Amino acid sequence: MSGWDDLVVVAELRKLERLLDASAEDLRHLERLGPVTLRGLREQVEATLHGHAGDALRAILAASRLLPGRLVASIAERTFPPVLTAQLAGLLEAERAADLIGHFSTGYLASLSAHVAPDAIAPIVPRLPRQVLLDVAAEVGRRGDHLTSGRLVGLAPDDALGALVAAIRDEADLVETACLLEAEHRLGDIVATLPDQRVDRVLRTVDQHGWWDRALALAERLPADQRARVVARAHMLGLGPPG
Amino acid sequence: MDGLRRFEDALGAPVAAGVEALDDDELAELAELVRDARATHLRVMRDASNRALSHVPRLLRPAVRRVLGG
Repeated sequence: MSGWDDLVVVAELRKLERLLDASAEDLRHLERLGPVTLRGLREQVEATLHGHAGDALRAILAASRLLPGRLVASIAERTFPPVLTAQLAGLLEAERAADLIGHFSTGYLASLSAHVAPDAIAPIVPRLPRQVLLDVAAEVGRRGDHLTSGRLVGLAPDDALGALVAAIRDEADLVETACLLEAEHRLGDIVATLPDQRVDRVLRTVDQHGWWDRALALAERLPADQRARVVARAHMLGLGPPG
Repeated sequence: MDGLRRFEDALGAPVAAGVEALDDDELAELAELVRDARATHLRVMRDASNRALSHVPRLLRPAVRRVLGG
């Protein structure tokens, strides 16, 4: 397996742990399935868990339409665990979801973001007020929830990506987030938002933590121009993998 | 083969390609985890719906309860 494949396996196992409320130990044996099969398994489990109670969830949504959005959000936040609201969000029309989201607290949205299915919320995210998205990303970052950070960054609209990446203030958090990124094709876009000084800080962090294997795996997935930029910065700083 | 059947029952679909490489016990454990997660979701949903109903304005409660099927 390549370095990138190793990162995908780790990310998929973390997602399965969260979905099944299982420990890393419970699922470690699944590593040998490799990245492609493991991703297929995780997607299947996610679809099963998000779809099995569809009728009951749709009944809750139908009931919610009898009430004003502000009251729905207030009741949901007081009585629904975020994992349940995340499933409901996936069944809502994007416009109504975006309207309701405006009534939730940042903390609740950060918890909810950890459980949403990316496909289900992809149409919602671009409709959110930028400040809501940034506040949630900052809160998720503060919690050190790199899996959810990776999901949010992967779904962020192009014109919000730079601010979202800037909201991840710690360089180590940024590297961890990149390793768990939901949409690997956005790695180049992310690096493109980083000023040279931040690239330098990221490279120093990689060196301090001995994360060169991860860094090389991420570099594999960068477009040639961004890879050349990062390599040039590392060369200038005299940094690189040992040996 | 029993593990595979149990896992497919839990998923409600044939397993994703390649997953059958797991041995029978491993598939049975996965089936158990999925069943537990589904049961937990259902319990959480039922409890949350009941709690939510008590926060709905009294006048609207019968209509909401009707839509919820209660």
